[in-house]
Amino acid sequence: MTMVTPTAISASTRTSHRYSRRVEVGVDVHDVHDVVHALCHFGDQYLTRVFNEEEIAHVRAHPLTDAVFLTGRYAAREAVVKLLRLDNAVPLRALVDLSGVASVRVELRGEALDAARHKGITEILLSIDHGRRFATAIAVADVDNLNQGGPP
Amino acid sequence: MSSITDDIREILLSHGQMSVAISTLDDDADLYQNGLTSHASVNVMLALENNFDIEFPIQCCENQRSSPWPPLPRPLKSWN
Repeated sequence: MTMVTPTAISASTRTSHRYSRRVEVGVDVHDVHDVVHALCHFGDQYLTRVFNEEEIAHVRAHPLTDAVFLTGRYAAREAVVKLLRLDNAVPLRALVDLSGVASVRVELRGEALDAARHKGITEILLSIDHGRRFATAIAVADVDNLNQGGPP
Repeated sequence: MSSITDDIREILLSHGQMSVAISTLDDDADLYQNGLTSHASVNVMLALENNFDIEFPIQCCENQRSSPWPPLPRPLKSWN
């Protein structure tokens, strides 16, 4: 009978994690009041700089939940920015764009696109949740070591 | 008559939601290190645009999208 010691399991897990697969994660929690503040002060100027036409059309069609929806989308962009480790980047739609409502797809541009390529990230998955006060988003990416454009 | 610096400090006070008193910050202080969040920085950017009648350029170049992201799967890449 082969005995598997905890040390052996630990070593195997570390090896597998290090050489076979790496996962990058970004998370954000955002206050709905911040988005309400921005909507009240800047209206369409805020909407068009941060959100895309699809998102703006969605909130026009669902005005009762507009701030909650937008907070979730902002949190999603911020989670992607954190995943990519873009320090102090402002997650405008020009940097991180999202499409779809039920199933959200990420599109990167500019600095975000460069960072994803450099890290060897080929896909980013998002999960977004909303409450009345806060919205949260988690972004997860599989890092393809063979596709990596630079050091991890 | 207020200076540009005074106007910027006023905007930071109104929209920056900073965790420190604006009056205690030097002109070259790192705002993020002093509690400016990314969302508040959007508000500050928009307020500066309105106050000074300017528009900040978005650092997004269409020509950087010449190759697709997500990248093509490796087997497809090798055929291109």
